[in-house]
Amino acid sequence: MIVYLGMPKCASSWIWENIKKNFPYKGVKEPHALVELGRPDNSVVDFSTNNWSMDSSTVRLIDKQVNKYIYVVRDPMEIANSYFAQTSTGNEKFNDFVFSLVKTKLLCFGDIIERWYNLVDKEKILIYDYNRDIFGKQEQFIKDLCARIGMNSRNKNWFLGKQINQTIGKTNYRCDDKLMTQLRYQMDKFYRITGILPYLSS
Amino acid sequence: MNIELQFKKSNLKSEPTIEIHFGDTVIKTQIKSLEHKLIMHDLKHDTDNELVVMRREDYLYNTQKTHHENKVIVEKVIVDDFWELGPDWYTPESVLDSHYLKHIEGIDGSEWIKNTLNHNTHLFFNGKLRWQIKYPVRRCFFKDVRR
Repeated sequence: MIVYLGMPKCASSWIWENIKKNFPYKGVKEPHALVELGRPDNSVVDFSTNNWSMDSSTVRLIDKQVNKYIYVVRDPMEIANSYFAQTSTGNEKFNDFVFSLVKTKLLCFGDIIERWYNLVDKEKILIYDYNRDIFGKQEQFIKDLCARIGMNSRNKNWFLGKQINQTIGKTNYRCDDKLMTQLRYQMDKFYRITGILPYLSS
Repeated sequence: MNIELQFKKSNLKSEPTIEIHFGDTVIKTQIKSLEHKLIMHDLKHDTDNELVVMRREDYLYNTQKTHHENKVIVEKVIVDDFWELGPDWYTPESVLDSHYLKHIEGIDGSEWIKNTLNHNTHLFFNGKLRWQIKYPVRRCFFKDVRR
């Protein structure tokens, strides 16, 4: 079984479209069964972008059947802006929005990876950075991913060069210093735990 | 599933006893030092549940005091070694005991109590702090789609 842990807004739909035909699975990309019911929807694949937040009891239930987990991170402010553009009600302040994303752990990549390294064999978690490993390097990324999850090929009738879905009307807001400090702490923690070198955008 | 509770108290003049309930599990603990940590291990969690921290000290009813001077404060609750509930996020509901409510009715200047219960994490009264802990836990914070 292959489980996409997250995050959302990291090209998961594009990845899924590229590799889905490799799986003997005809269901939806995001069944949300692990995170909302606490049990798998199938024994093949689950590409729900909120799988990072499943209960530890669910992890223990499925881990023996899981060959690889895929975990893609991205600059947390990019994720926050993309989410904000997509879901904000219009009355909400960006800072309050980010506060919620921090409190619900959605931008706490350090805490998330720490938890998952404690729950499963860390060798089973394939980690990618959207900006470093995916955007602009789609073919190389898909080849690498397919090799690491033991797939022979990508979906041949999908155009690899197809543009990754972009959020329309994405903003470029910033949050306050306190939240920025928390986000930096989480990224530093993520890099420290994984041993991955920090990605510096140009 | 584990649940960690981090407490503080206002002073060292007393050692309040509190009771913690989660599902069928009940633990009593006495707050002896200013900071106190308790971890409930391997809790059964396969349905929506309540976490309750309860204080019942009847001595109060023999006084003219409206509240315990030595407050017990729930600083943080960590659910499933991950989710952190605190004074600014997913605060509990404060539930005053009926006996306590009767007691304060007879004391002048107790109006402030009911006004301070919103987002309250301080057990200065006889009663409960109560959190809804859903199954799976993320459902506490995110809208579910399938239910």
